[in-house]
Amino acid sequence: MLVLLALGGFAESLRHPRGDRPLSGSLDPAAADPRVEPDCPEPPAREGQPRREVDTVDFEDVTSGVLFDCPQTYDHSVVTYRGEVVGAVLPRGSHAWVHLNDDAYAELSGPLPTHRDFRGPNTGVGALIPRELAEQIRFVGAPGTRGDVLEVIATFQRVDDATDEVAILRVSRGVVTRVGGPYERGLLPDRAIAAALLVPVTAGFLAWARRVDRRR
Amino acid sequence: MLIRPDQNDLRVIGLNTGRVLLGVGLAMLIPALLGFLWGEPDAATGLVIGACIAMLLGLAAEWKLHTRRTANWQHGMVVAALSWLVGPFVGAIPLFLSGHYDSFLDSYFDAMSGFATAGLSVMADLDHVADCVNLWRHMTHFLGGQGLVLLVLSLFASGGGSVGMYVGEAREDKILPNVVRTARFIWRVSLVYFLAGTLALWISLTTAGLTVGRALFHATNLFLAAFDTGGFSPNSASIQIYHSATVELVLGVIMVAGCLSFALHHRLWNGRPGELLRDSEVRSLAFTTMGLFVMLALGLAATGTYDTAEELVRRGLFQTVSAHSGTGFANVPGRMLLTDWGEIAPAALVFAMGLGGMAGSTAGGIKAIRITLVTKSIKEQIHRMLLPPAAAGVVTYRSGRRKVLSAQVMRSATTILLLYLALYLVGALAGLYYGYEFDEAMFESTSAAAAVGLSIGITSPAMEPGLMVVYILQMWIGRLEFIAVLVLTGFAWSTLRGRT
Amino acid sequence: MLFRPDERDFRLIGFYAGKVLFGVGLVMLLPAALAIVLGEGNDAVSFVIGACLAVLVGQASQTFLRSPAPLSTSHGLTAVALSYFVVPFFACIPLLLSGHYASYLDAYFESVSAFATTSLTLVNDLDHLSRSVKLWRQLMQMQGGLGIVIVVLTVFAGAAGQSGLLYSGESGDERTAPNVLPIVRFVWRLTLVYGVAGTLALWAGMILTGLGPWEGLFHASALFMAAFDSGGFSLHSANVAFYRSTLVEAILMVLMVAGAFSFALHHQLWQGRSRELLRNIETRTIAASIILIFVLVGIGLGRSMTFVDFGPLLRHGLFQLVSAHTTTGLTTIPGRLLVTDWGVLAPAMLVTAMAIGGMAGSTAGGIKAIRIGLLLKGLRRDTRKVLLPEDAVIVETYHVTTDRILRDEQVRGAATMLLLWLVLYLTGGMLAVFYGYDVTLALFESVSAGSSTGLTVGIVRPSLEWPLKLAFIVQMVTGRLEFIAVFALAGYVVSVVRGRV
Repeated sequence: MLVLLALGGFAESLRHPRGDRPLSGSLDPAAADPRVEPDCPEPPAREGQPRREVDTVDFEDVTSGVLFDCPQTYDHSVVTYRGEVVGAVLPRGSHAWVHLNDDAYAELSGPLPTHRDFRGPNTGVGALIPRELAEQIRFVGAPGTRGDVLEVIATFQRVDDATDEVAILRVSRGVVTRVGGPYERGLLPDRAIAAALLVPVTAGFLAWARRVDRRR
Repeated sequence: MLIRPDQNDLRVIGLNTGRVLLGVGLAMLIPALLGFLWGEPDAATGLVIGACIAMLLGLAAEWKLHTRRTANWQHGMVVAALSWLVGPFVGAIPLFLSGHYDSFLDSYFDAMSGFATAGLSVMADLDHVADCVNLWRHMTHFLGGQGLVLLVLSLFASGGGSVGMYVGEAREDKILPNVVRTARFIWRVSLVYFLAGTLALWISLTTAGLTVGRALFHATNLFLAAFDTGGFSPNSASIQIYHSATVELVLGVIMVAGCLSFALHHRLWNGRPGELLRDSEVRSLAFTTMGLFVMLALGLAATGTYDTAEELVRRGLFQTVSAHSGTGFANVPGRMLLTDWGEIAPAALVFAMGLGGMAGSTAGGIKAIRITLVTKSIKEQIHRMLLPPAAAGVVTYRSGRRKVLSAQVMRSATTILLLYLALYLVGALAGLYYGYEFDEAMFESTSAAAAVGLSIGITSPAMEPGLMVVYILQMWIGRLEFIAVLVLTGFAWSTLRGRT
Repeated sequence: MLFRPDERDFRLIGFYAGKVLFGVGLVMLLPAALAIVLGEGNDAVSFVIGACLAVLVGQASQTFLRSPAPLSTSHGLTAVALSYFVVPFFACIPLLLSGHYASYLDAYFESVSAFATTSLTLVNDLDHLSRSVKLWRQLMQMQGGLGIVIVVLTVFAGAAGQSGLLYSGESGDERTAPNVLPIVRFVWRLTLVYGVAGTLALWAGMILTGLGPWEGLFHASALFMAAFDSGGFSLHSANVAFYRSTLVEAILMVLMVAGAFSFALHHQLWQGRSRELLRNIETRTIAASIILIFVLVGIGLGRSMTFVDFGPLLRHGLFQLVSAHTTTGLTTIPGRLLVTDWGVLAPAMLVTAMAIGGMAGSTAGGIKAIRIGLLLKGLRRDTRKVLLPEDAVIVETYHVTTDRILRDEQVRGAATMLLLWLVLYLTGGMLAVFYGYDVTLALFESVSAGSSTGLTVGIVRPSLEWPLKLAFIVQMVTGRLEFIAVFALAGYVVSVVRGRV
């Protein structure tokens, strides 16, 4: 028991420092709490009831949260969306697939572990962008790199007929609004010292234990 | 027999089923007569027609299908299964003719609900239905509860051959060695309770404000519904219409009495009240009821539904007892269970409904004895796995006297329990198919299969016919506890195979 | 032993748990190496720290708790349970130090989820998580999954298997405890073969879909680890949808199914007895179950008009179903859509698939197909008994490697476990309902945790209430270890408390 408590304390002490721009508000955006009923213009789909054909309406600045909360409403709608390119750019002839994250790590607080503002899991939408736009992307979000932020005009497809993909944006045009780049993940001194101390201690103990065992 | 059923088998089954129909028909004459007395000739005529059809079928069977073959256990099962299928058919005739049902399927649903002592209803405008028809509805509870078969036994007892039918009626306990005497005892107990219960209800209903005449009518009907753990009530607002805690209390007592097995009643009758405390089933029942009531109370407290503790206890306890005993009375509008009771309280009710009352009573559900046996079985298995072999002992339970838990009994208890769970889930699946949420679908499905009768609103005249059929089947299978249905299916299958 | 454990028992259990901890510590050096190569300095150091601590404590347990006493079944089970609770304490240190977890509890939850091959995750900003930590997440799943297989094939297959409660899917004589070494060797070899083949296939898929060669290899090996040990952690927040590739999804489905096969079955197939695939009671049960559930899922999706064309219905419906039934947890659609766009029937069917799970003696969780199969056979036997004349002799058989006679004991054990599983699923669900979550969502999440699947409708997230985090942790381990081991451990804890009080 004591060992575990000590372990916990030790580990906690070696954590990353808190960032210098903590955001106010709760840890998770409210949309991520499944107890909050989404406020959709259209009711969710149920067996036996036909889906209503929604007129194409323009929605500005949608988030992935509302798109997934009310997919029926936004299906086939033209929307504007903004997000960080993460993962990879997957070329497909005249187009390319990207994933655009619109969470706090994309623009507001920046990626972890540069701070301790935990804002829950990444949220984002897949997007099929034109090749010209794909070629403008210089940085893709990855460990150690902030991706470019794209702002796009796209049609949300709940189920895309051409590619059979689910919940994607078919982008007609877009721009790179912020270029990404690498971010600092320097070595923390406390940690290095701790490691430097632990390794010889462990090695020494192991050697001693082996000798004890051989004698038994 | 069942591998190659022959003519005589069919005759035996047909004959006995016919006798049951005859009994039903005779019973129908009582409300018919009362209907004429009360000045409801058109409704009474409907009852007379139904009675005639039933009696004609019964007499025809008696005449044409007469055979010297005695009924064995398997015959009995098939007769029980068929009776619960065919009985509601004739029972539905007066209901349909009363003009309060959209279709014959609807009235068949209500009749099946009556005979299976479920209590779900799709009647339109219950508050204006003729008194004699209303009485007939409640009488179907009595007939189904006390056992159509028991009815026949008492009137047409033919000796040892009828043992099969009695067992098929899902009452494994042989109270008295002679089946006829058992039947007579059940009648006697029911009569005594009937008199005492109706009197108590009459008084409390009069105190609640009904006129003496109406109070008697309601008292009789309510007693029939409570003691047979059915759940039909004379008005659509169920028990809430009386706005009387006294009435609810009296009904509560009757419901509990109704969900105790007749074997236990027999022991109490013979002056052994200590049985009540030592019986394994009673303990299990008390434990689960209290536990689920606590869960329900916590849920209601969390949602802040009721302001005062006494209101919470009154509504909560009544609903818990109503659900657990398989009755189905409601002092809260059904729809509000969904909109106003949060999630935990309705869930507690679903568990209570699913578990059910004592075996050998009119209650439905998995039955307390199975819960007891399965729990003991699980504990024993885990102990055996983890403890050294010498420490394992023998498992016992108490039902009248101390009995040893045999592998056979354990296995049948577990099998039936699992079958009930499967039945609840399949019914919920049907509800899902029609687009209802899982919690609603599960509630209604359990209510039907465990023959309870509480409804959160799915059951209504506007219900999809497909779903109605599913619930009818559930009520039928749940009432008969699978074996009889299995035997019937097997029998039908081999008959068909024999013919082709 | 359980009622009055003495010092010898504690030493024995601690000794074996220490061995496990030691091993896990050594494995931590792998991601450490990767971190050094990729220049992820902080993470390299975190792994070194974690490895040192684990090795230190593990070796200390072995050295100081060494005892000559023999290991009984209940000791073994308790040691396994203890390992699954204690090892994640150490394994989660690199996770916490990566800076992507809000608290020690979150990191511990993640570790438990990994070792229990669940894949419910509390990670923040997965898309920027360093590769070495991602590798460690996958490695933990491998250790947990393969570890449980070995435990099942050895401890469960011996005396424990006799009770009928625990199944290993093994073919051998259940009376004698099987020899551990050949089993471990076979498991290694099989995993290696599947690993090489699976990773290569996935690598091809990755390159075809547009990832670079090194990135593709990393993703391929990581996904192999997620699919084959029925774990489900992915490298990206978009899960498998990220790859936009039906080829990758198809390969993953094959790997998921292979991972849900019992290793005993693999052994049979290895030796060329492919007919076993058709006759084994478990494969038949799962095949029937998948077909039936897929039809219902299709009906549900069709009626709610989620997918109007058969193409996407097959692609996404089947993938989600296979992922659920093999209790893996990889997805091709955002989890939120299961709630907002899939109606009510299809998600309920996914819950059923998760609850049933895979084969016994595999890395999959859930109730296990063998129990369902044995129960159905038992039902068939009871039906025949009812329908046939009294004196007819009823013998029901089932096939696992050979034809065996259905014994009462087994049906009873299967029924008991089924009920325990249902209680587990319901309890977790009710607890979540108590915190205000909708009952349908709560049950989904509870079944996902208990069957170690990992599909989520959004309840498990970093801001989840901590009592529920603890509850899910207990659920994941209890489900993974199939109750008995956890009961044994609980018995220990109770006796310790009683001894001290």
